[in-house]
Amino acid sequence: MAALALAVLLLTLLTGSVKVTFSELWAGWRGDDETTTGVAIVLDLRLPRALAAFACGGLLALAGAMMQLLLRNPLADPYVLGVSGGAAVGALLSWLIVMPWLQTPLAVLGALFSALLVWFGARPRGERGSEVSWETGTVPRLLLTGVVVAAGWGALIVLMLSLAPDAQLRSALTWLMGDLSGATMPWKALIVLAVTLVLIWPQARNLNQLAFGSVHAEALGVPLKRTQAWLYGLAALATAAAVVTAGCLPFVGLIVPHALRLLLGNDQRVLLPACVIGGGAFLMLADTAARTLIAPQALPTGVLTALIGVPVFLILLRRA
Amino acid sequence: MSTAALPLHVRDLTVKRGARVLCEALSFDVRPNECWVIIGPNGAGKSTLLLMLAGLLPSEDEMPGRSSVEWSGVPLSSLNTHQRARHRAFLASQQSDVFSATVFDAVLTGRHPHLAAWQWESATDVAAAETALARLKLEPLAMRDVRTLSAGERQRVALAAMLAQEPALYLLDEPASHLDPAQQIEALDTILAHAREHRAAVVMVLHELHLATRYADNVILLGRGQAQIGSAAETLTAERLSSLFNTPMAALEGDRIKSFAPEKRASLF
Repeated sequence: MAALALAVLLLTLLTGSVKVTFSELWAGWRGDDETTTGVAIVLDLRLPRALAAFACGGLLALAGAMMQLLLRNPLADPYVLGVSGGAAVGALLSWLIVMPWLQTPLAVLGALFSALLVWFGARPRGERGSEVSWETGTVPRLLLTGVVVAAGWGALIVLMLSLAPDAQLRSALTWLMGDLSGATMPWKALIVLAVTLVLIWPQARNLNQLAFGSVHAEALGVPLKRTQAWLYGLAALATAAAVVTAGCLPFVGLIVPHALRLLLGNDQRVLLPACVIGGGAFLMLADTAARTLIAPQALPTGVLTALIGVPVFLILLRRA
Repeated sequence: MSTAALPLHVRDLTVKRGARVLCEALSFDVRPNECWVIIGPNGAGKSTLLLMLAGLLPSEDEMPGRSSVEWSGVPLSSLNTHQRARHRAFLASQQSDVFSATVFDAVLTGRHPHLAAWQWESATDVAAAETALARLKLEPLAMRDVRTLSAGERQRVALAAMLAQEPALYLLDEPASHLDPAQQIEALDTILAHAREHRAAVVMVLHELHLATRYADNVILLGRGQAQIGSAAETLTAERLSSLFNTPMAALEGDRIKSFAPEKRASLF
């Protein structure tokens, strides 16, 4: 799988309106030749963009997989449930009050708050032992809560955009739809991706029990509250890191874990690392398609993931 | 008998659901190899009691020195979630599956408490899961997705996972639900035989009175804010059950079966 991701990375680097061959790239990388424009384009523009796509894809797929376990619902996704929206509102707020250094903290806060709303909204007031019934009967409730939360964030976003100067409106809108065109080297996102995986992976066997239900998991010795708090915090952090880097990319967190579960089964010890690689590869491909399909025009990446994600979501909903 | 030898020791337990007190000052001792059955009308607090005994619902007075539940002489309050799972297995009254998993993997979850944090399942764990599957005659289903099983099959898978867990105390909430009459006997015979081999004890909530007379050594009749505790012979009588369920009950007896059922009422018309 890692080899597949590397192949996709290479494909991404070599695809575009300026043709660059592999040997040119290799020579440029080793510094043998004087650097051609093509190589400069690859290293300065395409590489950061490809890595940003990899990081965001991995983060969103991981966040999706974690939210699906936390809410015990295969339809959970940071975008559908409005967690991305919360992070976007936080990020936009920092831009509006001209304090860009607050962008990441505010985005994390927005994502945490949003996830909290969904968690409490989707969970009916009930006592212990009634979990089994809420976990099975909760699909419509969860989705309704998510839709309402997302709509609320949407309204706030429109409010902020109408306060913003017209000159920046277009770039803000593209960013909101999920866009990687302005990406610089995404160190922050890559670090958050690594940290999230390192923190959640040791919990993977506990998460496997959680997939069978919270009562089942606790009866088998899973510290329930602590595990849920980890899932919740890390999913919000991962979503926020992706949103700060590339805006709201819809449905990545839904499509990737679902496809990988079909391929590899639902053992989180395998699934979580696979989500990082598979999500990264998926978004690199989607982004390459977005910038080449109607070249020289480039589509926002999020348009493409949404076009794939909407039918997938509807099919899953039909089956749920 | 010192409490260290008792899989379950209960003193002055208050069964509460929210602010509602369902039963007070409940005390009893469950010895190894014993089977206890909890019987009572809907809403009497049977499941709540079982969750408290399992340490899955906090008892109000669960603090050091005041714990009313002890397992093998150790107060419940001094055990963490992981330690608890090594002592008792708990069967919830319903199973629900939203993610796909094979029957084998579902049974293998029973080994979770026996693994250290970084450990993967070993050959021993796989063997324990296979034995559990075989004992409940589930081998033909081993590779099936749990979401495609019937409720009765799913119930047996959950029971097999408990066997793989090898606890000292089995707590079962309606283990016979969804099972056909032959499977009820087959499954409960298997669980009780397995428990006796390991000197474990069983406490279960049952609605099927013929299963209670068949398996119970001791019975807790829970209802109307109080509990009557005693041997099966003392408690399982038409008189006591009639007052417990507030409806006239009669004994039904065959050569090798005894049960109780509500009497047919005289027609009102």
